[in-house]
Amino acid sequence: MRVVVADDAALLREGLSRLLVEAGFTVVGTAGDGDALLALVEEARPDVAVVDIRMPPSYTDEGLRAARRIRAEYPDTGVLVLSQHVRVTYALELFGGDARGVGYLVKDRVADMAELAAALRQVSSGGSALDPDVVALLVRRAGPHAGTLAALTDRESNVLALMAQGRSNRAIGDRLGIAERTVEKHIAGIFAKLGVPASTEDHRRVLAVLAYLSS
Amino acid sequence: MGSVFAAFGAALTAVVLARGGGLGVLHVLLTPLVGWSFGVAGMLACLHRRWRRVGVLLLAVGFAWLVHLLDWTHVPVLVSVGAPLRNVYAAVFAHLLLAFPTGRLGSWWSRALVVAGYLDVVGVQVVATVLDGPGPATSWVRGDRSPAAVWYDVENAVGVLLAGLVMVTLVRRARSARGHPPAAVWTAAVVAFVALLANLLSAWFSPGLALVSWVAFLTGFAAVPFAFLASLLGLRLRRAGVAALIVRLSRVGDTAELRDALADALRDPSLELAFWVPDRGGYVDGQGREVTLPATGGERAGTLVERDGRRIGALFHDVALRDEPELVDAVVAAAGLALDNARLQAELRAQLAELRASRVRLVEAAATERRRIERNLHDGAQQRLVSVAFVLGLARSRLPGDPIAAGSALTEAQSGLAQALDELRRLSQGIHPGVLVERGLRVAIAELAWAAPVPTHVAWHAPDRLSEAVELTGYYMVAEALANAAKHARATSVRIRVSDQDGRATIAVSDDGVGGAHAERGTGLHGLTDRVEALGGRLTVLSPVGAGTTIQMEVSCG
Repeated sequence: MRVVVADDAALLREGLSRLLVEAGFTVVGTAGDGDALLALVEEARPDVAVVDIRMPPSYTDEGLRAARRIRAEYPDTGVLVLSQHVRVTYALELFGGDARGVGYLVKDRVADMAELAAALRQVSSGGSALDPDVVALLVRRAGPHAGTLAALTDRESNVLALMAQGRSNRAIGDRLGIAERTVEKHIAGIFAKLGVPASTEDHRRVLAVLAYLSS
Repeated sequence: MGSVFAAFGAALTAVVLARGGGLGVLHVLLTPLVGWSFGVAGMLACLHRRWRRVGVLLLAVGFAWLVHLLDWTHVPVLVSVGAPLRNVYAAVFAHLLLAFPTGRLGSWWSRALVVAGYLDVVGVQVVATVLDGPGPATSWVRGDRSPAAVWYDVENAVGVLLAGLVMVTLVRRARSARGHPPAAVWTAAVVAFVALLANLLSAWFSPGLALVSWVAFLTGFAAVPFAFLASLLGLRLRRAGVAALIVRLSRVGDTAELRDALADALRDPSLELAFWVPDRGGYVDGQGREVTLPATGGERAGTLVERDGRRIGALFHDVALRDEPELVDAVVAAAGLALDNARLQAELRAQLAELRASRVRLVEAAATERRRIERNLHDGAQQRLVSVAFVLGLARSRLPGDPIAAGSALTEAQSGLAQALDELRRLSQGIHPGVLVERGLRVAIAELAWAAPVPTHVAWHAPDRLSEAVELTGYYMVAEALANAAKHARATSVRIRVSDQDGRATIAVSDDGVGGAHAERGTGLHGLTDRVEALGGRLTVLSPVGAGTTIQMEVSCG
């Protein structure tokens, strides 16, 4: 898989690149700001762009805006946005109306290479990736849905959280030590309890759950 | 009342003059004169409404004195009626001295003295007279061994003692600020007392002088009532001083000079000025310092000063001024404008003092904050990083021989780093929240709501971005309020409301916890108050016990 890395700190560009290479990915270029990133994507057409949110010139949310542009203009390139802090608002904005090929992770999570690889695979295959910390906050703050969520069994809650993180049924099954079939059954049950229409595509699921949790 | 006195007095005088009484001519002429003198002064005083009480006392002294004359009528019935009342005049005179110029006895001490005096002259006399039978008033001359002699001695001794106590009381009053009672009265009382004492002593030791000293006493005593009248008139004349006050006020420089001018006009050197500050709901002195009101019922009293229906302040003065309300009103009216100006100055000084204190607090808060950060860095992140270095060293040493152990050490190092990062994150949020710079207060509050330990609902009715200073202070206020709601208030839900109306932004955080929070307690909220006031805004804390807490900040934006 071919990836590009965009971060204004050289140290982090280096570090991320080394991790990615170690994990078996090919780093085809790095960029230090939004404009350089877009030029790089235009030229190299990677499978995924790993992008830091906070970049020059304004050091606010250049990364988010670049991500939106990349998704709009280069539909075959997925974007994995990295942030120093847990920002529920940014995650919700990023996923907006279309969670396809988009991911949001907190930076130190990528130190775990397995997590990094899983997220990249999810995003490059048209699915989504959402940091577990963000999901945890969303679930905790479910407010009006607290009652319904409390009605889920422990196993169902775990499946819901992993699903919101964008993982595939097989990945969920691997993590929980159950068969893929069982996972599918759980998911059907969850959607039924939440009263949300079921969907087979991973990214749509994420969207549905996000929409449900953030309402 | 006056006519009763006149009739009684006239009748007695006529009888006495006719009979002669068996005493010297001077004696016969002067004795009734004293009574008349008091009576006339009393009648004159009664003409004026406010001096009525004093007038009654003067009349009473005159009456009591004339009762003396009953002795000289040599009519047995009258003599025996008058016998026990012989010395009542002394007790009534003491009453008058202690009650001047108001006519009322202020303290329990003066009342006790007067009651003791009456008991002494009437009670003891009754006992003695019953034992003795009607006789001349001079039964206390030595050598007379009648059984009642002892009682007369007792009466006199007690009388002298009480007279001494009255003098001491008057001396102490004179020393107190107002120099009351007035000098004329003072002198008269001293003269009378000294003469009476001299009379008693010379009667005991040298009867020859007795008559001389008695005449002296009579003369002095007859002048006393006019001294009283003069001082009452003097009180009236004081009001003319108000005109002088108005002239003086035009030259007054500061609050101290104003106080002096007013004190002189009111003849009360102990006068104090206090100014009303509506914001504080309390009184301050000329320098802006808080002032406590004097206790009621003591030697000091207060008079409210108002102008155009607004309360400006109060005068604290000797309680005797209560009886001259017209004088006080005239002085206050004349000085109204000057007092108002002085009040504004005092208010300003109070505000300046508060401002200075607030700035000091802000500077100290900044220094404390830096120390806190340094401590957090040292005890938190730095320590963790050091321990991670240790663990990495461990991993390195295990690497060649035991890669699995090395692997677990590395995992441990990663976890330590994650914690260090977490702490640094929280620290940098505390220094300056990144999201505020990136997206503004609205998103920042949304993030605080997501991360809050208690379910929080946000209602935003304002422009997306406010001024930087307002956003920063607002962020800290909301963060502090949320922390309090979780930590102290034991709340189960929080509402944050941000609204913007007529150029004023309002940020309010309400929880449904136990209430009882107070802006002064807990440096967190106090520091917030300083920051908000530094922006020209206001921080209010509404926290009735058991009914939740609302912390609200109002500031003008733009």
